[in-house]
Amino acid sequence: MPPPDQPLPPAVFWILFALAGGDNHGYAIMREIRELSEGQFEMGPATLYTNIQRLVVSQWVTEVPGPEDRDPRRRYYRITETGKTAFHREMSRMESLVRKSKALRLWPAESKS
Amino acid sequence: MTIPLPRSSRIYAFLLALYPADLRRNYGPEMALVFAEHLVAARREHGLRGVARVWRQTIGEFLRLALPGCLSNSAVRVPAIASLVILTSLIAALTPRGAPDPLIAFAAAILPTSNLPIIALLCMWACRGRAVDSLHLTPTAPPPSPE
Repeated sequence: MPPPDQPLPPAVFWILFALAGGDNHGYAIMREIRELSEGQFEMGPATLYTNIQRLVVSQWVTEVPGPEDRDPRRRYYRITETGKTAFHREMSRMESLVRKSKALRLWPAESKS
Repeated sequence: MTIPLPRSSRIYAFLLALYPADLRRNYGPEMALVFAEHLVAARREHGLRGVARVWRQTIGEFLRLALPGCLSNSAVRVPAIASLVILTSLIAALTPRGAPDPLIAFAAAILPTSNLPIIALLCMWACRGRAVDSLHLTPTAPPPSPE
């Protein structure tokens, strides 16, 4: 995982974003990412699981049992406190960028006026 | 023509075998399941175009994530290069005489097909005791137990 002062890789950011809303399995994470990004970001199973593996190793995401009526072939994942901290740090970084660009009148809506 | 879904899953299972062993071992069945669901949904929502998009994405992922791992392992790289060279020399041998491609002519000159046993021995030597396993993950702490 990148050091705290570095931006998160897009796939990591979107997986954490999707899991911030609650525990989910792989395919639901993929669908959630497509919805959250309004179709701007899509990933296939290999990208998804390569990153889930890294997130599990870094303990940003953990595997949980999931609901009782779950499909036994599925595994459920949950964002950990460390993962939430990294996600919130990334959101703050983005918010700060937006704020600065607005202050400098570089924000598209303001730069037109 | 659309590739029938079971055939798509079989092709994906073949591609999956070329991904790093630890990824395959930990997540292989789930990846195959997610791929099948993704493909069914894409076909239902967008038809042939959706299926083509999933396959384009899958091949892109394969080239980006699986191929570098395969080629970094000499157990795969050496036979792959040897096969390429053998194929080139076979093409050269079967090409009508005249003005052959200089590269093909060079390969044919240094590696005639009679050298196949030597190449096979070299491949076996390169592959001895090695497995394809290359995600290059840092040593791991055991994952936390489910809450």
